[in-house]
Amino acid sequence: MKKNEKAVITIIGQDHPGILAGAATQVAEVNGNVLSVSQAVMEGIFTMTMIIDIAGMTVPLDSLEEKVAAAVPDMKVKVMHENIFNAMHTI
Amino acid sequence: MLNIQDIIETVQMIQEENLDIRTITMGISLIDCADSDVDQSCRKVYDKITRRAEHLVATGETLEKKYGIPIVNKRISVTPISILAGVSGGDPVKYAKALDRAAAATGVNFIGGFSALVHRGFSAGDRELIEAIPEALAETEIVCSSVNVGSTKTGINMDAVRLMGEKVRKAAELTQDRQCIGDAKLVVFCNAVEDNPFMAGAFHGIGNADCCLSAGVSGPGVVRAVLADMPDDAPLDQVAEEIKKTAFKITRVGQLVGREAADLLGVPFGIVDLSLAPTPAIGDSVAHILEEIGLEKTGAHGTTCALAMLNDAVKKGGLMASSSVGGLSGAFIPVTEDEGMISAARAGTLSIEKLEAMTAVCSVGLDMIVIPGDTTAEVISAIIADEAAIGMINSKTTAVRVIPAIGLKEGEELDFGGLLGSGPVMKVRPQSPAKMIHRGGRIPAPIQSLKN
Repeated sequence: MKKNEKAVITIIGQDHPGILAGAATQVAEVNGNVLSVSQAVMEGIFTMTMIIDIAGMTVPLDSLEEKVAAAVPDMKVKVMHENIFNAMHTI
Repeated sequence: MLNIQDIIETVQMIQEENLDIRTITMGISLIDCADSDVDQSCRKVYDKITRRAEHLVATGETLEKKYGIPIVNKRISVTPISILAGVSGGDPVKYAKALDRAAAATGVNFIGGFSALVHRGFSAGDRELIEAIPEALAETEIVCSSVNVGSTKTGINMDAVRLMGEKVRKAAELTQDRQCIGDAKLVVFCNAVEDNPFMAGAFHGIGNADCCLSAGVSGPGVVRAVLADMPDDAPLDQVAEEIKKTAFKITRVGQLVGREAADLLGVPFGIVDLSLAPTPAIGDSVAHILEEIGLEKTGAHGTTCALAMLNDAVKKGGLMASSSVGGLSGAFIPVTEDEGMISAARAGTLSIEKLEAMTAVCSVGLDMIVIPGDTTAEVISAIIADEAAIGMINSKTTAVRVIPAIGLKEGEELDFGGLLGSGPVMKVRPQSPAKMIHRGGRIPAPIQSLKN
């Protein structure tokens, strides 16, 4: 991965303890660096987005997605390069 | 700076609303493969395609993983083969087989370009290629064929129209033990475009560079979901505005992925085709957008108007999102590939006549329509002639991809499976147009052609 590249992890599902910790542990294990986290729980539904620096990451994004998904079962997990969000939402 | 709502919106589009890149298509010129010996020419064709497209599928898969968005198809389009057949002579089916082998070797889903452009007349290789189409489609798996029979500039080649009616019928007969699949891979165009990345009508026009990469986006489900969130009494100008904004977002993804794929492959970026392309999957239907706009069922009176607005708004939104828009760019209405269209056809609200009217205001034509197995070649030619006339007069691309379901009658069902879907056999008028079709000749270019 190149310098300053970022990816976005989103986790959506039923709230329960340990979701953020589970995801963050997986990111750390592959040498990703968490830059910011925002989360909300509305009517029991947990929504989290985590922006991570992937410049030094040791595995590709799809492998990280599998790891995080395994760490927080029953949650919808998606890991995507930030470019897709920038392309869609900025002019 | 990214905000959480934008992120969730994008993820939702992909996870819940079937947003995908429908295709990345590599256009490859085969002009330098032409040889006076047909077997030598076929070898060069195979070598060039497998060399140029060697990494196409792997590149697509890399980008799917990076952006978390499916790229449903990886495809190749090539120079119209009639040009090579004109140089080499010999049996054009050999070219189709070479294309099929090359496509299989690269792992792509389809290869298009078993094509001829005969809108003013036939040159060397054209008639031979057209004659070979049914056999070529029956003996290959993923080769697609198209023939351009008319244009606004030249009028309509009615000899070609007559021939194509016969070939459509023959292609169905030769593949009748496989759901007449030959005709799902055959398109007859008026005003064909040189840079269409969508099948079955893709070919790499001779005005293009040696090799380029284009992308076709999709996303009817996303547009429908946005409209479903609007109040029922929102005026239509607001509806159009929302469609425009959504089309912008969808197209930006196509532009991002297409350009990056081109860079990774080391070829120039071609175009983004802005089309809303449905699939038979639940929630991926253009018909359901029309119904969300406010029709009880697609095919009802008002359908043409709703589609015209949709098509126009998609273009306006997409145009700003991409530096290079091309292809067909609009809304596709293939009947068997669209859950809502299939349902409307089964219910009898959607007729061929209504579909014909719809093709005057959207991007292509009578697409993936199953017609009775006993439909004559002349009637098929007349269907082609009607569509070509709409395209010629309105300066737009129109096309016909109909499937005479050999052995089936009106109301029975033909099921292709996969992206091609299934659909009921639709009613056609049995009255004979034979006298007109057998006159042959040419419909002169219309007054619209004199723009200089």
